[in-house]
Amino acid sequence: MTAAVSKNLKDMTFEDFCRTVFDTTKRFEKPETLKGIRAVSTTQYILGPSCASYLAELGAETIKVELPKRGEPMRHTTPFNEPFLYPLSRWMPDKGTGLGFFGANPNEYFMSLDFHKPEAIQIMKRLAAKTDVFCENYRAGTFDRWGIGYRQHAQVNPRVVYQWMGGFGGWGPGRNRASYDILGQAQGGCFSITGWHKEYGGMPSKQTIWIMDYWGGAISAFNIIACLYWRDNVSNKGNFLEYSQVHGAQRHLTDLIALYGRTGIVAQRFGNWEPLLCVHGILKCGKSSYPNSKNPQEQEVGFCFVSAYKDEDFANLCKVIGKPDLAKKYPTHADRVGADAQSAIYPELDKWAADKTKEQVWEEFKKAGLVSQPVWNSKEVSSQEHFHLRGSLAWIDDPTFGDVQTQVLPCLMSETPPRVRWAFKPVGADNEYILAKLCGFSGSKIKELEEKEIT
Amino acid sequence: MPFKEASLILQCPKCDTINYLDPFTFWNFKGKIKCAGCDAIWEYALENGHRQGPPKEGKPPHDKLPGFAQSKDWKPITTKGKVADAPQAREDFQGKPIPIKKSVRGKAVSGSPLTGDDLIGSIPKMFYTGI
Repeated sequence: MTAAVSKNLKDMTFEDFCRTVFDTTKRFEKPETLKGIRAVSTTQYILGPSCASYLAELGAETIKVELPKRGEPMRHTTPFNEPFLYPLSRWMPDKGTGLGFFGANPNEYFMSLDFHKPEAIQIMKRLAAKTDVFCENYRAGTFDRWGIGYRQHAQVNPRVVYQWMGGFGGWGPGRNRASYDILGQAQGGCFSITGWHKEYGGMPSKQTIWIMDYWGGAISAFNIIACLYWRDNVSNKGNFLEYSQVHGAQRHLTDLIALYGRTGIVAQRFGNWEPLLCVHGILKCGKSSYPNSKNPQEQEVGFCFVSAYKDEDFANLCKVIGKPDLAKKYPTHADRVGADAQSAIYPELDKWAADKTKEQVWEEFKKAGLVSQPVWNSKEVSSQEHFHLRGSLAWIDDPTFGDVQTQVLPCLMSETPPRVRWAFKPVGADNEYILAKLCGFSGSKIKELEEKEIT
Repeated sequence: MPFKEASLILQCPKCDTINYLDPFTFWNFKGKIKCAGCDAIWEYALENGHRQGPPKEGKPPHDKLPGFAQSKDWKPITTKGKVADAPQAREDFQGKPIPIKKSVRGKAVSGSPLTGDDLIGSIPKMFYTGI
């Protein structure tokens, strides 16, 4: 930044300063945080790939290695088995990659390799020598058995940061169990505290789409970056990292673990209300915002979040809904935070909102100065200028698939902003590039590997 | 809590079929439900997911079907017309790939099956040769 520009920045309002330094239209002109770091990702589904994808969005050269032709299983998952982007690979152009693959594989180079073949193991060792980071989420011990686990990697490259991600870890009573995001939520306790209280049906609810996988990927990515810092500034040594999905899920119990330890109380589900604050939850708005839509998801009634837990805000809320007697009955937070009080208060909010859309409810709350937010669906989120302007949502002209909407890391950096260059690529799209550039293979050798179905 | 006293489960007083009332449809409901087992009609009311009294026998037509049902010996009942249709994302989602050539904002996207001749390397030729 030149002296003239920085003087200008000092004179701006804070809002203009932020808008200028975080200008997302300029992100491709700026350097990348992890430029120069090379990562290899032999990961599947979401937990492992999301970790590698966060590194890729920050600028690491990330190589995803998949089985030849069909690629990894997540390519074959897509909502209701319907939406695909084509081709799956140059060998199977009539098949597509499912949308489940989105969001965890941007900016990566795609190589296919059959680990069951000895030549593939030798290729992996060549890559290991030139890699800063290695991510895998096969069953614990599988890569060690194949000769490309951490112990073998470290012999070739003592500086490698090797991240294993999986369900239960490489040791302990559960080590041989398979795991998925939902299993992690179940074992980690998240299911038990999400969903409806037994008085209201009692059904637990999973936490949205594979949140434990994405969260686990983020935790793993920052662990990797921390270890790279330690390697490059302190020790000159690599590291072996293990992330267990079920431990990550258990972390979401937060203070409820301490609650149990201190009192023996087992936390209950409390639906869309908040056991610590009242009013701080979601109410049902009786009218649909799109009653004539073909899409059942749009036809449904709306929901709106409102926060009015401070006494003056609660009194204000009661005035809005025409129930000032509620404010007299529950004047302080201590009066209204209990379960019985909340069971009496929220139905009154629902009754008031029964003839309104979520937008109408929001307008009323905004006029009253209350913190509130309608519950937006994916279509409404996609159309929000705020997300596009600030860069967490973007339409990109993907070089393989064309016009696609995608998400970018939702953190703004003034000097080294994250970016998405492409959503993902077909299986083996970059075989020639990687095998020639990093492994030194000739064109004929690369062709031979393909004919032998090693790549 | 026995099924006969539960709110979002209507165990038919005639045939003991367990009719599951999905919360989204039945959370605040007052109307008639048809039993998936014996087609008996029951007047039933729920407020905030709590039953407002036991079911009373009623006359057709019904207002809603249960979301799912099981016979008293736990056999599922999924026949169309006995239980409500499964939730759909859109009426044209039928479990088969939907080929598309344009995104929701009208620009070209490679959303349809291709042949080898359609590719240059791994990339659809159309993005090089024009759409």
